[in-house]
This record gives sequence, C-alpha cells and structure tokens, in this order.
Amino acid sequence: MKRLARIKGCALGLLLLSSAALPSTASAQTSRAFGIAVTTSLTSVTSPVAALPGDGSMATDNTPNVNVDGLAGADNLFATATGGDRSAESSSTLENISLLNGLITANSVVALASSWLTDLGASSAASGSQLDNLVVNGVSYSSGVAPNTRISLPGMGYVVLNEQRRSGDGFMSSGITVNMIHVVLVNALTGVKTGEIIVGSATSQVSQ
Amino acid sequence: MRTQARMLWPGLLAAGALLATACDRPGRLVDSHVGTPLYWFGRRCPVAKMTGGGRIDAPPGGPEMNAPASHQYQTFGAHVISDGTLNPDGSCAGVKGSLEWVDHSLRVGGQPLNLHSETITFVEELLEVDECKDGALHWGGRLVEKNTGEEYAFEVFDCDTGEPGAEHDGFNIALSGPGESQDGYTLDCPGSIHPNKILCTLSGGNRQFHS
Repeated sequence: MKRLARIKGCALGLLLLSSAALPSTASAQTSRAFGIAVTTSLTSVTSPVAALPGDGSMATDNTPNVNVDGLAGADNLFATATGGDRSAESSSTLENISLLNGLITANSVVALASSWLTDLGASSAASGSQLDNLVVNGVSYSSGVAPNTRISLPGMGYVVLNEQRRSGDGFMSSGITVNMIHVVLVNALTGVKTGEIIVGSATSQVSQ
Repeated sequence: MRTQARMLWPGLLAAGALLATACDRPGRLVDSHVGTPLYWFGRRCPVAKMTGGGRIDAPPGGPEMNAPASHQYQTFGAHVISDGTLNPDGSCAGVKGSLEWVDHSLRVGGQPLNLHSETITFVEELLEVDECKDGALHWGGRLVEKNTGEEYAFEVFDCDTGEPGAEHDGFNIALSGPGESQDGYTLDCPGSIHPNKILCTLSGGNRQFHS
C-alpha cells in the first residue's frame, strides 16, 4: 500500500513538473471577408475586402456598389474581419445582387464565419449566414438552403449555394470558409473552367 | 428600434450605491462632452481586452435569425484593449479599440445605418455578472454616423458567455448626442436569453474576453 502511494505521489509530482515546464501555447488566428470576387481571363475584381491585421485587432471595408460588366453587381457591401487570442470572426453583407445579367439574383446576402479555441478543442461555425429571396435561373430557393447545394447552369457551368469548406483537426486547429454564392464558369465545349464569381465570402481560422 | 437608451446594468442593480442613483438617474450615463461614464459601475480602466464580431437580430434580439426579407438585423465588429493605466483625473489613459456597426433595418440616404468609432475613451470591467461567465465590459467613446457625418457619444455593453458565441454572447450599443438624428439609438431585445433584456443575444459570430 505504501509503495502504491509512493508511485501515485511520484506520478503526480512528475505531472506537475511537466506541466510547469511546458511553455505556454500561443494561438494564431486569421480572418478575411469580401463582398464580391470576379475572376475571368479578362478581369479580376475583389471588393470590398477586410483581412485581419497582424496585431489581431480589426479590419473593415465597404463600398456603396460594385458592378463588373454584367457579370456581377451589388449594393451596400460591407466586410469585417476581427480576431484575438483563440478566436477569429468575419462577416460580409451585401444587397441587390445580380449575377450573369440576372440569371442569379438575391435581395441580400449575409456570410458569417467564426472559429474558436477552448480547452476542449477547436471549432468553427457559419451561424448567422443567410440568403434572402435567392432566384437561380427562374427557380426560388429558401433562405435556409443546405450547405454545398450545387445547381447546374446549362451552358455556363454551375453554382454552389451556401458553400462551406472546413479545415483543421478540431483539436489544435479549426477553420471555415463560407461562400454564399459561388459560380463556376465552364466552357460548354471543353469543360475547362473559365472563371468564377463568389458573392458573400467569410473565412476564419484558429490554431495553437 | 429607437427607444430611450436604458443604461443600467441589471447585474449590478443589487448594489446599494447604484440603487441610490437609479432613483433619479439621467436618461443617459455617458457624458457626451468628455466621453466618460457619469457613473462607474465596475472596475475602472482594468487590464482587459474584448474582441470579435457577429450578428444580432433585433428586435426581438434573441438567438434566432429574423426572416431575411425583414432586413431586421445588425452586423458588427468591435474590439477594445485597456492596459490598466489611469489619468490623474481618474479617466482611462491606455484604452484603444474600434467599432464598426451596420444596422440593416434602418435606411439613411438609401443605405444601412453605418456607425464607426473615432476614439475609445473608457472601459470598465463589470464584475459578478453571472450571465457573462467569461467576462463583461462596459466601454465607449465617440463615433461618427458615416451616412451623415453626425457625431455621437456611444457606449457598448459587451458580454462573453463562453463558446460558441452564437446564441450565447450578448451585446448592445447606445448612442447619445451631440448628433440628433440617432440620439437615443439602441436595440430592443425582449427575446434575448439574457435575463436583463438589455443585452441582445448574438445570432452569429462571437465575443471573446481576454483578461
């Protein structure tokens, strides 16, 4: 019995010693948001853009409207990126969205990403993201469209609604990118990707 | 949406000193001329930091999102850092931060109400607020309504209730002059999960308190 107690005491001592000797773990966090990004062989536009600065404080950007040659247009665009030790958040909001000369329209879009670390692990969420009165090729979609809903755009490519890409191991790191409307333009003859349009994008990531 | 600013932190109402002042409290608690609270409720100018941003759906300001067609929601980013130093007059010397606020339910000149901080002038840590288990701050300063250029004193009630922030953390903002069009602006949050109903509940995002 005494030997068992001695072993337990020794183990506890080693545990305490090792805990004290461990360096404190620093966390790293990134966040970024933008309203509209259009990339084709002829143009590359991203606006507005907010990216978390290195000091981990806050970044914001906004513009009253964006119009890219009939490919994409929207009004009242705001982007915000925030973060601090063990957490990161970003948001993008915009209104009166019209893509591909009205093939896709929406009254408003909110993209929201947040990531955080706790003693139990790392997590991310897209809570607060929303589509308002989305119409794709004449078909209306509810505001609660399921993540990563893919719809074909005959002759043009396809669109992914409420696109959510996750990263990290959920223990030491976690991240999420939310693209509320992601159009991939494809050459109908060759199948080669020719461009993309992203509307309402928010990204957050944390790691330790 | 715009109601008379209610500026008492209910978790502190039990304090005798506060009760004494509450009987004839003024309509606002921030002196819009000097940017400091008329009353300090908590630990003045502590070493503290709060970061993050998100979304509120007020009214009712509860954890659920409103129907999107209503445009009845607000998005924001806000951070404040205080190094714990005070000026000789007792005001905070080492406080900085910023606030970006967009109220999509209000239109000013055809655009959502957009507020942006110019300076942060005070912060206090609110102690023994059980509902904000990770930390609570009351902070503020001066901001500009970007739609009109009007300036206001503002204060923020900021509550970290743990993770995730969505459906848990609390936040609200209140404005007082000298600007006129948004004087008294604050959110109504009868649907909040926070018992005091002054704090709206985040429907997205996170507030993170760093001690």
